Amino acid sequence: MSALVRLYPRAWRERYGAEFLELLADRPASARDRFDILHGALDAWIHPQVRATPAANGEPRPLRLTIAGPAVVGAILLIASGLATYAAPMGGFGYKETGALTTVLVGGLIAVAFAAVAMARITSAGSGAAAAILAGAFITLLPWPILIVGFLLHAIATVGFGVILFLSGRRLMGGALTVSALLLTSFNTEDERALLTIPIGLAWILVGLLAIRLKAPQPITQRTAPSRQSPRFAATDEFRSPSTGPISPRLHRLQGQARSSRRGRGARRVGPARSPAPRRAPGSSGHS
Amino acid sequence: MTQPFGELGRFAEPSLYILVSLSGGPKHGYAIMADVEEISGSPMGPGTLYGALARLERRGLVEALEPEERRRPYRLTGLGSSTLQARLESLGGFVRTGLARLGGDPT
Repeated sequence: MSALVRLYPRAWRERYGAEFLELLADRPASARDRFDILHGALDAWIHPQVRATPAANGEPRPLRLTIAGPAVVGAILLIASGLATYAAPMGGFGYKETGALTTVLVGGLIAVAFAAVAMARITSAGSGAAAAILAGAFITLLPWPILIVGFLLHAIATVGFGVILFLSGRRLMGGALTVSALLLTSFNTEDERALLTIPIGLAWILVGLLAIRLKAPQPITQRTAPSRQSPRFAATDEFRSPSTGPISPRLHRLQGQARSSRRGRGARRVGPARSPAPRRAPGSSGHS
Repeated sequence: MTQPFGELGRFAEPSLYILVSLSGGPKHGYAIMADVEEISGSPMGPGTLYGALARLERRGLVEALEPEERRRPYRLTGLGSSTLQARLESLGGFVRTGLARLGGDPT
């Protein structure tokens, strides 16, 4: 079960991991729960609610490096798997024996999927397509023929992601990903089409190199409501309503009203929600 | 006041259930899941629970208390309480209107 929790971002695990594992120990996860956890992990990558842990030098880890790193590593794995698959000898049943090479290919797909997710976070574009790329990459971990579905989902979602990048003004990245991912849909281990991982690998290397030059988004904590609970929590673009614009001033006002309301009531507090923090929560001791 | 729910996407309904559950007093994750299942009649998955809890906590609608062993209870904040109140009143008006129209009253 802890393997499922490891799918969540590190910052999320540091904040919620222990209690989440305790919950899963209390209530063994059903197949539906496992899918729900997988969905939750994808969401945590796409819409992070917890600020990433600072890097060793104390500065926030540059998000663009989280694009370039997995993009280049994934690209190398994709290219290597394509070349090795093409050169692999034919097996006894008339098919190439690509067992270990498939593992390399899947590793490459997962790595570039994380690059796509990071790219979606920094550009605020294509988060749905990036989630589909990641989902497709994880599905390729499943046995044949389901892995084919994952591979095609990954490739088609990459086409969509490339188109979104292209339309959002990142034409070189978007164009390269779109064309190479379209080619990747024709991938076949049995002939020269195994080499179609090379164009997509080169495209991801291009994305990784260009990503280093990307400007990190403006710190959002300055225009959003700070959490009262912990400075680890930082708001993201999700705090902005497309229809109404930034809502942080409104949240500040609401929080101010709530505090004023509590002060106005003084010591005469009513209801469990307004009572002081109990050291032992009534509902929390119901199950042990 | 109900605006935060509009930004929660697929987590809006689970968040409402969690706020209602916590309005009865602080609870940890498992207690919330059990309570929500009793309230709504359907189970809430762990991924959905913590996806919603993280959003509610970041928005200041709930807050975490000191952990008890490895379980961490959560409670409603003042903002969470007032937001929930406004949301329930809004839903109450919606329900009354719907029931009245079903009954032939074109209110």
